[in-house]
Amino acid sequence: MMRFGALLLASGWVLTAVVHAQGYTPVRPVKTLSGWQCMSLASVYGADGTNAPPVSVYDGPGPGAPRVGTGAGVIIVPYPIQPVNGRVEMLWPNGRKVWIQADELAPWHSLSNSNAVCHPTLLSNGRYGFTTSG
Amino acid sequence: MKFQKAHIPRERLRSVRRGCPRGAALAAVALVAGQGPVTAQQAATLNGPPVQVRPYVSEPGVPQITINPGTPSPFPSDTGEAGTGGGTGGSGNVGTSDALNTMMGTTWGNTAVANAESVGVNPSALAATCVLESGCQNVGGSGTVAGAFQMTASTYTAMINAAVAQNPSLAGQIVPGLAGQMDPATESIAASEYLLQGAQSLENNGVSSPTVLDVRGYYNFGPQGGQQLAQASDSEPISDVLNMYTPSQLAANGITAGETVGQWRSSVAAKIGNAAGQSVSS
Repeated sequence: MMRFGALLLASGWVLTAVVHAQGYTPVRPVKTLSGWQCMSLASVYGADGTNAPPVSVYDGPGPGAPRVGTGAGVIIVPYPIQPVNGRVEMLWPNGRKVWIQADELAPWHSLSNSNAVCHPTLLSNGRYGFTTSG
Repeated sequence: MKFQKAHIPRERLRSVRRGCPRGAALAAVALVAGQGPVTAQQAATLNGPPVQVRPYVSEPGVPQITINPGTPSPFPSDTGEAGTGGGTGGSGNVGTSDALNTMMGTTWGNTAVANAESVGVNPSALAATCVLESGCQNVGGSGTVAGAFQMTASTYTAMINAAVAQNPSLAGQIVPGLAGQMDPATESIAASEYLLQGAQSLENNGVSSPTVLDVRGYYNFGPQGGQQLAQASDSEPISDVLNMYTPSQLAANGITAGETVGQWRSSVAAKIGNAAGQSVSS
């Protein structure tokens, strides 16, 4: 019985060590988000777009809503977008809903692959991100 | 604290067991253990990462286990692996790593660890950076890039100034001017500040508890690219994830055709081991 326990413990230890040795847990798509679409900051497609600064996001659509952070990367917004006071709702990677100026956004597309289509996706690491096809 | 145990050769134990009843055998073992070159527990000053167990005797029926120094404990009370993206803020998931062992093997490793902690960065994240950039060797680079953390002169200057502005007590321990870029202990302060800013950038964009791997994307591809990599699954081609790069820009940045995010992550993780999934913030 004790030997079985030791074997069980040792097996768990080895498995854990293997996961740690890999250094990270692979990230896979879990679910495509319907009713949402990918957009980008319009500035990333301009000159020096790879260094485009993130833009402010807010707690709500009203002019008095506090700034809560920034938007960068793939901007996940409802489909179709429904601006309120010039702002649209945005889904942060951690699941929080924030608001961003609609005129800062442009439809997502890839400069290196004109056929690529972006799909908002829940990932296995719990983040809201994206996958592509095409 | 370091403990040294008496090592009784296994063959010696077997010969004792064969010839004696169990009680006598135990007494004999105690007698044998009490003689010869037995070293009592000795206190020693800790220098480097804590000493870890290295099993050297196999137990019949139990699979062979090899534990390398730096391998995290599987028990919940110790440091763990990558956190997931849900939730907000917080830190944790910091601790020893293979990369940290490498950095601690240098003459400046202890100072760099203290510098990382003073800036608020997980020392393993700092160690992973020097492993990836230079193998933790104080070397030159192309253009203005130099030092164990291979920072450009402009980034180094901006980061060391920012770190000292936030923590003026650091001013007394840095090598002034650009000469500090080639002093690994001084450059470690600037590199820690850069890691902190990368983690804060991702946090400000809704990526909770960014990992060393997440911030590596920020290091390589800036705020936009780092954010996009943090939002991507492993199967995505990097050319689609970094959608603002043209094919020639991707090639210039060392991205090969068809390379996926998972391949990029694996190649980084292979170099820095278990630091990859740890938090950058301490």
